[in-house]
Amino acid sequence: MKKNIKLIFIICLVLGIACGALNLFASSQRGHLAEIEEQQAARKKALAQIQAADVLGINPDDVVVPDEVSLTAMDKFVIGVNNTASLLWVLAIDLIIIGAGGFLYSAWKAKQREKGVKKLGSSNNVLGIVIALVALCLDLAIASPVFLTSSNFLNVFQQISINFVVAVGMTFVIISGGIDLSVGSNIALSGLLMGILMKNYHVPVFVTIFVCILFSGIIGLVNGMLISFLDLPPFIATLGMMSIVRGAAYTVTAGQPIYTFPTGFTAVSGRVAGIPLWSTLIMLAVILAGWYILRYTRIGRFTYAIGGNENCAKLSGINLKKVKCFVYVVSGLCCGVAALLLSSRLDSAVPTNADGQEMDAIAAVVIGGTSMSGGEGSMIGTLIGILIIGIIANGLNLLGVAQGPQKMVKGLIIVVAVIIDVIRRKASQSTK
Amino acid sequence: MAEFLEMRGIVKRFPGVLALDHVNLSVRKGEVHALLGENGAGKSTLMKILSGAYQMDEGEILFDGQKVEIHSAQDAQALNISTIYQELNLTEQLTVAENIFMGRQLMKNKFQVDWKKMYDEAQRLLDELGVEVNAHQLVRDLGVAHKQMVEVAKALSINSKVLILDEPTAPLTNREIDVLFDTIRMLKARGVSMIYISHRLEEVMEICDRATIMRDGQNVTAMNVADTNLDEIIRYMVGRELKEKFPKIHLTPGKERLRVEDIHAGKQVNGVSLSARGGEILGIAGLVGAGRTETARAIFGMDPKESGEIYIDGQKVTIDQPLDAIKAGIGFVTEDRKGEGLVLPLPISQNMTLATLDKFGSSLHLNLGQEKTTVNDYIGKLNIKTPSMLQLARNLSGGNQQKVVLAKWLLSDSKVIIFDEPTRGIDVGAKIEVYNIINDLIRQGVAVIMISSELPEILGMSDRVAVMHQGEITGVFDNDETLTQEKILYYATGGDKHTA
Repeated sequence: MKKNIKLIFIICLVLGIACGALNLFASSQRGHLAEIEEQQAARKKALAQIQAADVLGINPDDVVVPDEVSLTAMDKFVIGVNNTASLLWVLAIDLIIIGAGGFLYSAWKAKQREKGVKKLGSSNNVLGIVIALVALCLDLAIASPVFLTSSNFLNVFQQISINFVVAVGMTFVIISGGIDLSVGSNIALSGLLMGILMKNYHVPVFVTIFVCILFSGIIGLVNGMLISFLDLPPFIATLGMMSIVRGAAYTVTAGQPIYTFPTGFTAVSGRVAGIPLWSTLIMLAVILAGWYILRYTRIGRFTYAIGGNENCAKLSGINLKKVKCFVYVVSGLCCGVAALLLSSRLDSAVPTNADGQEMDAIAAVVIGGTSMSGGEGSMIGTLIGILIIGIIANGLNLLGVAQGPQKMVKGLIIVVAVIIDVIRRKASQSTK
Repeated sequence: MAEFLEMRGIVKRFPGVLALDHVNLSVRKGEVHALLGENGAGKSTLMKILSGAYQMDEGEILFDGQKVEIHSAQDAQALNISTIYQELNLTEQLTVAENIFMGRQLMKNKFQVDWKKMYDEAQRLLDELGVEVNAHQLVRDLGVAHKQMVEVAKALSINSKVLILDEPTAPLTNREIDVLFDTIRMLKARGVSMIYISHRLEEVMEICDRATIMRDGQNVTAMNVADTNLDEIIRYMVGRELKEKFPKIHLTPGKERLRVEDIHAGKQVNGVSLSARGGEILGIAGLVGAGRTETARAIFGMDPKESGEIYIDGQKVTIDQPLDAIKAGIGFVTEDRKGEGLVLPLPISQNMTLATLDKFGSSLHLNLGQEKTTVNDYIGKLNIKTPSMLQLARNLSGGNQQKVVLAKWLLSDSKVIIFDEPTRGIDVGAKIEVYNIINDLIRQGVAVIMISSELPEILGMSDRVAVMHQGEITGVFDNDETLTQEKILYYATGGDKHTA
């Protein structure tokens, strides 16, 4: 088993280097190819001259027609390689990263083991996904010339901003051993509420924002209370809430969208000196707060404890109900912030907004190495998970993949991420 | 006598660790063979190889003189090797008979299960074992001892030739152990070979014929149990002489720290009153189901109580949840280390400080530096063997896990600490360390309540002993020479109610 894996790494490395070498060789042959092309062009030119002379009735004797250039098999091959260079580069880099990464990782692990450390927290999970993220970026940089442009980065940034904020809240919920399916509906209803307050009741922008984020938090609180006081399974409680809130979103405006918000509101997603300054600051604040709470506060520690072992948490004097309500309130508040970002960017609020948002958020959290069974995970992992999801979506768009296949790819990534989680769990149990 | 099962030169490597280093084990037909060693000696690994859960790297296994390959649990089953694990392997929602014939239902034809035959057969097996269990009962309604007997019946029904018993007596009371031992003797008479793993050496002396002792993944020795004694076995196991098994210290008890009056909680706690003084260990003895753990849980607020009062240092306290108990100065080391004592996916450090986080900075900012210093301090003090405080609790051995749980409550500066089976499932060396930690606590004036099913431990460590039976305290005794195991058992089975 161990040997097989090593063999796979070696094959990856060899193939990767071969692809790379092939590319290098092909590009080194460019001079030779250019010569051939020149000769071909010269022949074409001569032939054309003869033809032209023929038409004009001039004797084309003085035109020397060069011999036809015979393309060797090698030349044809090199031309073929040059035409698919970007694809080959992607392949080469991926294979080399898998191979080298695999070796480096096992070497690093062996060293850790020498030190007697079996597994420290989630650091090595994060390492794996960072490598995946880097590989992804390199691939796209080669595959699409647009990828590395600053306008594309801003684009990616804007696309991920909603998921970014929601996933931070979802991280809390999943670490605590729960799940929140109501996030998408929450965003939609909160966004509509913002529109109604500002348009129909002319409530000032700041008050609106404050009230609506609070409202989203209250939806979270209801989730938390259903789960902690009535002992409903989180999946069922938030599934019900998802439907109730989505239904409410359709009801409040009779299915109609709300357009054109005050400029003070849309300025949140507006750009200052070409940068979406305010939304950036909001996202930064949300993730920093999330990171800080998980790492440096008592309730953050308790979130891990109730996810890891509820009985032990109770026995250690932790108020389970309070902590559970807390995580769902956090998730709700994040939805409120996401609603703010989304409505201000679109300058509209629609009842169907953020449909399926829960899947993206859960995917980002799980890809980030947070375990669905709770007790493990980190904000940094979630951050990378969000980036991976966002960049994949962006890459598929750049490569012109249709919406249908995009959804399939996204689903596939979630499944693979969970498979990795399960394998990791099994491995850590069998080494015990 | 010919060797029936032989494992020769078994080597098993885990990444970076040599778990088994050319280990030999030979078991004769119809013998009870003890496999002894401290936690981490490699007993479980060896048994997992035999039962097909692990694959060995080198070595060979001879079964009835034939070389055999065991690559999977199915292979082991085909050789009629069964294991009864400490954590029983039954499906709670199914009946006894369904469990016994799990996966091998008796069929009338290809599609129909022959329920009648299956229940009759199951009942016959149970009767043969002399167990008062109805094959129609649901497993979840059975006590631990009876569940174990269902496992034994299951092993019998597949006609096991080799039966591995991993700590079979850990959850049992003395009377239940006697029943189990009768069963073992009966199986032995039928020619079943048994490999018996236990930390309770007295039992090994009683029931086993031969013993193989392991230390650090190697064979130390194999011997006839009749030719040796406890001290020698312990010496081989730990590689050093243990002066005494119970490092009892005698202090003059201080004032009363905990008084419990007339607690009622559920069916298992019917009017318990007790008191514990600073500097003493109050042992609570009793059979399983006597309500000892339930009493502790009611005092600590884990389970609701119908009535009763609790006083700490003479002050009445209200305890509705564990948080109240912790605030009042009570600590509780649970018997279920993995299920309740630890958060397994969290590191040692976070487990240790879980109950006392308010000591480390404010609720809005934890002082991680201070936490680190304290945790490392306790890792050193309690001699916890770990490369780092960031090691996950699930990766520690039983003894070290227990020390982490102890550290959690040592950190809490409790006035009263209740220990429920503090040394269950941990090895001899770690047991002494746990006793020494308890001694340190009573030196500091803490009142210690120690619930234990092991009478030698109760007699060896307690200053006073309270005996429980059916949710009531049937007697409280000073631990002097007049207190014997027999006397405790007399009260544990009803005491003066016998005559009444």
